[in-house]
Amino acid sequence: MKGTYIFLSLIVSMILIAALASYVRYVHSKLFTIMADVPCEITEPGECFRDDTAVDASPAPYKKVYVRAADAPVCLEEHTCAHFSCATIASCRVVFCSPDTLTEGEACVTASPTVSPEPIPTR
Amino acid sequence: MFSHFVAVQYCFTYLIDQIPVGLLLYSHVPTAILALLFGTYVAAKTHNLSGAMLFLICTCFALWCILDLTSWFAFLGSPILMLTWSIEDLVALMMFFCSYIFLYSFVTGTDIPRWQQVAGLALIMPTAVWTMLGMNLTLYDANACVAIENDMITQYPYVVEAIFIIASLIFTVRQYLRPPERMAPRAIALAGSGVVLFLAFFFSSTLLVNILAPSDSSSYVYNYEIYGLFGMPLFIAYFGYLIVRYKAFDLRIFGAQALVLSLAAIVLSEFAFVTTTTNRILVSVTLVLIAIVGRMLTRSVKEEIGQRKEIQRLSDEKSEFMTFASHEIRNPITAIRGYASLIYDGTTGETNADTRLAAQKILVRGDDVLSLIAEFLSKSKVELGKTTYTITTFDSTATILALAEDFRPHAIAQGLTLEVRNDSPHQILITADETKLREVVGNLIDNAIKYTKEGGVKVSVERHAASARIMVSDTGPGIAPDVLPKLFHKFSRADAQKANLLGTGVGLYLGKTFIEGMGGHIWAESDGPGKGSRFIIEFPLTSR
Repeated sequence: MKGTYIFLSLIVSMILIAALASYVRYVHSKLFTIMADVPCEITEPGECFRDDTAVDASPAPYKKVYVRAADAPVCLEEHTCAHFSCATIASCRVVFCSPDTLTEGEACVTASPTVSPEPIPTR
Repeated sequence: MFSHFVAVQYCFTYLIDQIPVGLLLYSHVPTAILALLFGTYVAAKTHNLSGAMLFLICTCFALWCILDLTSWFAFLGSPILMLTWSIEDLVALMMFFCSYIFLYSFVTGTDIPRWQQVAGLALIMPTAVWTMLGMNLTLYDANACVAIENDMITQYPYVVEAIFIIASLIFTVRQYLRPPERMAPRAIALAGSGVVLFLAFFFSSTLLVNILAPSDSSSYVYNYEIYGLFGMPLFIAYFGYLIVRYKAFDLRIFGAQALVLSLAAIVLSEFAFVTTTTNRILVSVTLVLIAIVGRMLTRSVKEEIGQRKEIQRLSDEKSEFMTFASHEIRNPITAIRGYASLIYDGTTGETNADTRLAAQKILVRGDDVLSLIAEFLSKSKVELGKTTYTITTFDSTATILALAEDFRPHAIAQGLTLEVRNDSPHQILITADETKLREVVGNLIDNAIKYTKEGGVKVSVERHAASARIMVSDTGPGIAPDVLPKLFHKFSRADAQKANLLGTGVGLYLGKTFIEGMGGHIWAESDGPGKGSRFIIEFPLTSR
């Protein structure tokens, strides 16, 4: 029975170590990537995504950005970033719409001058 | 209520659009509290592996509920969500493994074998490593406020959970078919069902979510997951019943109080859910009724348990008195026998034939009374739990056949034949208490001679498959089919009273207790009234 208690203590220790490692990675160092949709504008070099399942008659086009959490501005998670750009963030990557990057319910469009810079309602 | 904790307003708005927050709290918080209360109570009252495992299961479950609830509350910020999401699977696996260990120790009373410990650890290890390395989550989706999982890595825990469920099921079925002495088959079935159902509820809801949710988590199907948590009240209900019905964990007063508290907790948590005044009034009335009925129920359960304790105490006192009285009666009887023996031997002087006959009858009846007293003493010892066995390995053939020969004069005096048979030329070794076995078989032979009016008695020892079989058969009055099941009960004497035969009615009861206490099996067979009877004892063979 003593052996079983020791064994269980090992497992609990393993879980605690995993929890500690996760804490350091995600909370302390923020070593993870945030993916968010940000408004896509006319000056963009690539095609934008459009959500074909949205209830709006003309949903605003968007692009996808991937940025390390430690470098991400607060407005990214709040979806309130106006004119978000990856230019000033080293870990930031933009993904434009293409046949390779499309997922179900999305379509590729070219941004127009009438596109509103308001945050896009997402699913 | 949450405004102080909201770090990401977008996710807060998103959450309340997807699911009623009250339902989230209702499914997570009371079940977690119930689990912790139950596990803590049982662990505090018991000091064994089962109690410790139950506490671990309940703690893991409660921890998982907190982690899951925090994962739902993405408005706390992405770092918190990623942290809680990443370790949920590992905590769930720990819970599943502990559930298996608990079931094993609860049913068998022993630790799980070392190889199973190692196998369980090996199964959990990959998930632990992936969690430590951060490989189980790929990124945070700020659009849906969820973590995106590595599909291959996050499918693995489901496979392991399924393995633990199947292992628990197989274990339960095997133990039910060959139950250990310490637990009734029905109790094993209940315990196994409780564990398997709890795990299956949990597993199926999370698996369903995993199957339905596409990898980009664009559709919100996590809502189904919360229903799996109601497996915990089911688990508590099963083990609460086991505690009350089968005195599991040796807890005297538990079921009524815990069930009432649980019910009250679940009803109370509805306040997080209901919004209209009418519903709140109804919930309040329900709570008051539960309190009143619960108090009446717990009081009556306490009274009943108190009465049972009193009955048990009186029964123990009776057994002790029987022991005392039997010793006190034995002393003068022994003295009477002693003097009768002196008269019979002629030590006190010349005696005539009539005097010697009278002395012989005193000796014989004195022996009968001493046998009765010995049986009563043995019965008292059994009831007080003081029976001890001196276990050795010996040749059953030699022991039983020699014993049977001792009864030959008695059989001849009754006008009966006594056949003593041994079909095996070799020794038939068994491991048991030789003295007690002689006592039991001697009682069977004595009964056979006592009850048989004509014909004879046969005593045999033989090998039967992997067992040694001792059989005492007679050509006596036989045993009616309705009497056979009651034969080994206390004070059951078949037709002995009609035949005016002396006896206590505890010989067969003691015989069964002793034989089963030594790991053997005893039973009776008869083809019906007038067709004789057979008493059979079996022990596993011992190889030298």
